[in-house]
Amino acid sequence: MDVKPLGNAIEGDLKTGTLEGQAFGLYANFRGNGNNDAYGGMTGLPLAFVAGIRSDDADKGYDESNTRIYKSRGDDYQYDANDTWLMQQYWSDHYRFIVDCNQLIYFADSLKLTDQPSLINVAEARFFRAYAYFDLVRTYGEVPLNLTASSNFGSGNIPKSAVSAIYNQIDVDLTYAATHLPTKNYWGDKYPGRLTNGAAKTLAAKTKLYRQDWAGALASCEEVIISGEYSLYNSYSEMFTEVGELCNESILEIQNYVNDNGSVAVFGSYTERAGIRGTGIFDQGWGWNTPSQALVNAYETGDPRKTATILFRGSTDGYGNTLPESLELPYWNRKTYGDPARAKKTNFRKAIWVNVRLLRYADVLLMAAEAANELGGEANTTKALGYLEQVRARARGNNATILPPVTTTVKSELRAAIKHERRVEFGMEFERFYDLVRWGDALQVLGPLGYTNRCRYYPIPNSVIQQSNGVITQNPEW
Amino acid sequence: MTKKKSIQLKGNYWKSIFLIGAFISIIPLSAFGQNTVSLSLENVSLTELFKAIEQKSNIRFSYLNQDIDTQKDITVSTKNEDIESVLQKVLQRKGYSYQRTGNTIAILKKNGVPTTNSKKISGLVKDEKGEPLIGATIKLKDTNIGTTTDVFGNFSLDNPTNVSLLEVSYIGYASNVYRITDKNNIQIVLEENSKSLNEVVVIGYGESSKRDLTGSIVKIAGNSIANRPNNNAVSSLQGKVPGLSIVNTGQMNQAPDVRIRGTVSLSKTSPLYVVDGIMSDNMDMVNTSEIESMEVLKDPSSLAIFGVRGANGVIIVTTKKGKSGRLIVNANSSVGLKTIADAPQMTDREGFMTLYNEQRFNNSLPLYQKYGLYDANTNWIDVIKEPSPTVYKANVSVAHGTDKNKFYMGINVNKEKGLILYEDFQKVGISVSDELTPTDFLKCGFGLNGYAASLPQYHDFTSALKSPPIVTPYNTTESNYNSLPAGLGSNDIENPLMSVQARKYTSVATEYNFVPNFFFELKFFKKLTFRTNYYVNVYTKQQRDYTPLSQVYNMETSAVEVKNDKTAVSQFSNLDLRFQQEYLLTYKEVFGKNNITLLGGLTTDYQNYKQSSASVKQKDSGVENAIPNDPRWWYVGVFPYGDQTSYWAGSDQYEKKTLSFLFRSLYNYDGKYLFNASFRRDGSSAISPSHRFQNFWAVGGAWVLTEEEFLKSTDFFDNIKLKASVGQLGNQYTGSNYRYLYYPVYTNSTQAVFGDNVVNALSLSYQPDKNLRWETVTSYEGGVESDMLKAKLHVEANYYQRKTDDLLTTITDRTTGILYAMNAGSIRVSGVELQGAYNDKILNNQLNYTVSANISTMSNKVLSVWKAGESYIGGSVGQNKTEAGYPISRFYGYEVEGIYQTKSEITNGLDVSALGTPQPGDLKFKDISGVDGTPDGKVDSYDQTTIGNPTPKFTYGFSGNINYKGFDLGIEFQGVYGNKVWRAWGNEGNGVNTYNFREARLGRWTGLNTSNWEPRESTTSGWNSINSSYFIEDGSYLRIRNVELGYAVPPGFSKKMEISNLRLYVNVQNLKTWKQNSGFTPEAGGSALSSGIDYGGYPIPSIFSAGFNLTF
Repeated sequence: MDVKPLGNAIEGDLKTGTLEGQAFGLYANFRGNGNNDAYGGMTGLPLAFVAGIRSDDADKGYDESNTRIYKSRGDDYQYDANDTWLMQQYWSDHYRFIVDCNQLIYFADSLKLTDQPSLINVAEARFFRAYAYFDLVRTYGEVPLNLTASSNFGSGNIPKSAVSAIYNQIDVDLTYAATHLPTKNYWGDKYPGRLTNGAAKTLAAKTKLYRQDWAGALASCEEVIISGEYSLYNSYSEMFTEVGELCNESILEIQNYVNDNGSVAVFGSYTERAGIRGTGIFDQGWGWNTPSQALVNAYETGDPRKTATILFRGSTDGYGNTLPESLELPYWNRKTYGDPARAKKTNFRKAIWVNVRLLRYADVLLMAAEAANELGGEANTTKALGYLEQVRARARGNNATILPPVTTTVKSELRAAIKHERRVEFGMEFERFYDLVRWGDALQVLGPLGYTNRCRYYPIPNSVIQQSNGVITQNPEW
Repeated sequence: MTKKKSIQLKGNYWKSIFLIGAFISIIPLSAFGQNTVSLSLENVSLTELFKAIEQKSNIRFSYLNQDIDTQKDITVSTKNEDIESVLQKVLQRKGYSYQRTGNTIAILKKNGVPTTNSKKISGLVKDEKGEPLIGATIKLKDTNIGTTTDVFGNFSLDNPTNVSLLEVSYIGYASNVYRITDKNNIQIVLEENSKSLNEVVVIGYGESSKRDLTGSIVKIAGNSIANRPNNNAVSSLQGKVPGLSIVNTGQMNQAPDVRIRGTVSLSKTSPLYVVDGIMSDNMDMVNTSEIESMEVLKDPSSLAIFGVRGANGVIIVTTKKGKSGRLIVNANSSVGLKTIADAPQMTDREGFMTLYNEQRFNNSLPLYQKYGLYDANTNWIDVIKEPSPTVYKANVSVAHGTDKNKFYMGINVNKEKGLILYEDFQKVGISVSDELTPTDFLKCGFGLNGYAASLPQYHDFTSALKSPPIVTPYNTTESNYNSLPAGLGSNDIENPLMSVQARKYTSVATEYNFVPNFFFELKFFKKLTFRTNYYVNVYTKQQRDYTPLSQVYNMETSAVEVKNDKTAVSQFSNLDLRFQQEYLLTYKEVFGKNNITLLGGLTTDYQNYKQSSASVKQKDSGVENAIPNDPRWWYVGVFPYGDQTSYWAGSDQYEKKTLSFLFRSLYNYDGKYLFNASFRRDGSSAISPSHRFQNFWAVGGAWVLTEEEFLKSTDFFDNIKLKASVGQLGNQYTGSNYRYLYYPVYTNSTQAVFGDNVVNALSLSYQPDKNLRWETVTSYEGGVESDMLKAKLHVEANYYQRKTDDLLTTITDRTTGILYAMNAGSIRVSGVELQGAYNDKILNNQLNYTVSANISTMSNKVLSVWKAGESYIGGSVGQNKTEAGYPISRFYGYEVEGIYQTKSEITNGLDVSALGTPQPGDLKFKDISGVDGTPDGKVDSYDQTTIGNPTPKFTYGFSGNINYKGFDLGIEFQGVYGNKVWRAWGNEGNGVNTYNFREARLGRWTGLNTSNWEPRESTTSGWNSINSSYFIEDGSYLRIRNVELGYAVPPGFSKKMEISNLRLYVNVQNLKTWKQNSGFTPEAGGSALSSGIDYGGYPIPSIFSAGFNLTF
């Protein structure tokens, strides 16, 4: 009577590689599955909503009546704890992903695996767990800190932990990850773009920046800088095309893949959600999270990053096509745009093969600049100016008439210059909203759009609170 | 056959039976013998002696009174003495002898001459309509002497022992016993079984007289549905069987949504089909014309014997078999035409322009400029519908039988066109059976049901309802299909004509299903029967699909738009093999007034499923490199067109085993007190070893009041039976993702990407519950059956309740995201079923009529789900909610109480900010509740409520039939009441595109008091598409399900043509439906958690057909 599955492995069948297989699963789930939107809450449309649309630099985008509610929720800060779609998915996918990480760590612990590949797998899990908690703590403040791999139903129903406790765990995980993750060379050509200790240090620097731990942030950044593993890519605009994927500047990307004839396609959902909503070759997606007028206005005259970030209605797409005047919106996201010729070749209309850049070396430089300026002192100010200039110089290219070097040594002026630089360097890259909040600028900048102080945190989904039977409580201001 | 030969044969059969692994136990002959008798008589006559022996044994005497000595001079005192030896002594002394035939003993004069000298008898067997019954069995009672009627219903046979009683039987008719009075012209009229109190019904693993059962089984004769133009015979039962709800689909060869006594499981709602013994999820392998009878089993005492497969009810299908008698050839054919009766009303060009202009105005957009370019007035339904959707059915069968061998063979052909262009369906079926009775104690046989079908390429009307009427479907100047206008469908719907025409016949799909079976049956001493059944079910589907190049003409840009520039081919094939075997031992015994039938058995089921699929694309784009649009090239290995780097392949496979033990006892005392009990123990490979076996049982009792003295004398009642039963049944369906519940697999559905390196990730598909069990359904039934007025009136009433515990379900733990398979939750269904029928003959018995009616209620309540306060959300937009305390998959949303007429009504009205900002002309929702359960002046999520129940309050049917001088007319009505349907079509668009409007939208709000139901025309807010009662329509309907007028050509005419029977008929199915909703049909089925949603896809046609039934 005992019948085992045919052609499919079950627990105990696989003698080796199970841990690495599970680690690959983390990469897959981090990316999400664009076919059925599984795990879309990690880096799909929910990310575009919390980190993109909520900022002053991006709008909800294409106007669909049945999703217009997200315009008021995102652009007008009418947060809604009863949202059963995006923010529900954001919450539950993050916790699902955290449990995936917990399970890998638990599995390695229980088998007492100490070989180097296993330690790397554990480090990968810890990096991803830290990443997920960093998302959550930025979005909600206090959240439950679930570190168990328990298989009991309801085991994740635990009370919230303090923000500091969440950050402590992030520190522990990232320290471990920075110690055990290898360098880029270790992965070589077989696993390009796989996690490195540089990625762990970059993320660690960012979490420190959010806590105004300027010294810690600067130290982490400089470890990355000194390692020499990363450098700025020479062309800002090319970096966001297929050619620039996994370039020398890249630290972490969501990797999507479609082979030449479209028979193999592995991808997350973000690029399609953000793609142009048009017809024919411009039918590339849902048209969510589009550049705002404010972002268009933010660029200095002649800054080539403007056209590298934004596609303009009626202008060229860089691949020999012109965006039709009939498109509903004037500005579209170029960083998710794919070559229509490749779309035709693969038979995928949406640019689902485009990688999404999450961490890059320019961020390390600008974080270092910011931390150094805040620390103050002549040496640090010089450092800050130097790091800032590296980023501006790359953007400037050979055109000496644009983007003059910043020379001010006045702390507040330099701070303003760095803030401006972050905004235009990372346009449409999920930094702006959280930057405004951590700088304390959100009320001033976003207030006119409807933002109030309580909007720094999103309310926890009511469904989560209801089903927790009072264990998880709503954010105090909601 | 000589005696020697017969012994040899016997030996061979014994051997073969041992070979097939049967077990046999020998029971001493004497234990069951009826050959001895104990008598104590003093001074009695011969006839008195005979009567005394008849009372104490099953011996019957045959003699003529005038020939028998009447002297009372016999004294006998015996104890367990052989009857024949008693007789011998007495008769010898009196000068008589005897001859025994079976259990009949004929008394002969001493010279051997029978006490009567008439030997030959003859007569005619007819049905109530006066038509001859061909192949009816005539037997001298308690003997083996018999014959069958010929093609004119005549019979004649020798009666050597002067038996006085004739037993006459015919399948589908009540068997009867006639006293032989006239030897040359015995006129026998048999009545159809439906009116019979002694109707024999097929029950699980055997058959029984309906009279002896304590449950509710409804039997439907095959001939009452054979002429219906349905591929699936279950469709024809709609409205005929109380407690059986059927929601049909108009698509050819698609199974209807069938539920028996409501929904008691979350995963599977359809019943088990048992076709000639083989258990299946459908009855596709049998053609409607080959059905002898169908039985619907509903109650616990009938279902428990099916154990883990019985909870959803069982439909037993028995196909036609050979009968003893001469060769009978049957031919039937019909041809019909389908029409769409209730097409939804969509706006025409003028209406569309009115509404679209208004929409753009209200959306603050400039008026649409391209009406000049798009100058058509197209009705898209008419464009893609098939002009002559015909249904053609034919079958021929040959039956021949002797006492020793009964053979049947039928071949049938169905050819049908769908309601949309290029939907062609063809099916050829075969049914063969042979039953051999080489000796008294051995029976064996084999059968084969099967078909080969060529499947249609299915389409539906969804995009025809959406496409705007202003577009000309085909551009003759450009020789291309016009694309739909930008913003009016071009992004998400294709030109409907192009969808059906440009891809016509690009799918070659055939399926084959063959179900051979064979059995051996051994009879010991007439009381003990051992039977083994072997069934194999082989199903395979082979499909090849071709994706042609496609392009449309865009009138706005005057350019050809390439939609697909690479052809592709995909191939699919599967093989589903099932093997079922049964070993059954049946024991029947009568002692005194006690009648008992015991059944014990063992059955196993093995299933092995495999499928593989693959695809390939063309190498380089362009017409010149395309794989040709010709089935000859539609293979994955196509060369040289195929691009080898584009190969894709996949497979799916599983196997399953079950082992079951079963036991049943049917007992009755004097036909008065009935008691049934059944037990089954099921084991399955899908369940963890610690819970692998589970027990199911039922007990039932009944009391036949009319067998009691106080009612026996009344003429009014023929039969009153009070009955009740209780049992526990199971449900084993686990869904296609959880075939190995105990062994969660690593999924290969996720991959990680590193550059161009795609690597497979490993994750367990779900968390297994080691304590997982099958669902348990506890079921009760109580009822009464009664026949009155000489069986003219039949009424039946039942109450049932079914409660499922440990619902098998998969739940994602939202706190961790882990998927769990678990037993959780409980559902209860209860209802009342009433049915009645009256038949009578008037006008000198020349006009025979029947009227019947039935009604069933069903009320359904979810008692709990996996956790208090949780619910299942189903449906296309989450409109079905299943939660504790409410009916399953109820419609959930806001209650509309009208339309905001003015701005001040909004500002002074309820606080609706939680939902958005309405404008005048938008729907106004009711404040029903609040945080503390009472209206709070706000409309928010607390105000969502039950806005409809997709389950009807009751379903009903009624019908009438009359027969007069060869003409017959039958009419059947059927309906449901009290359910709601969700209108999921006709909703104007998705914000990206505007679709065509329902005509009802012309009555939209355009200003103060212009409408209080249809909201304003605008798409700038999602307000009016919030789930609300605006989308709810009444699902109640009444339908003339079937009308059939037939004429039997008089025997006088047909006899000349060597035809024994010829009937011509016309049939109309779904002649008229009185319905309340606006879609094609009120019938909207679904699954347990998502149902009652009208997607507007496909109509249920009216079908007009004409045909004949011919018998040689």
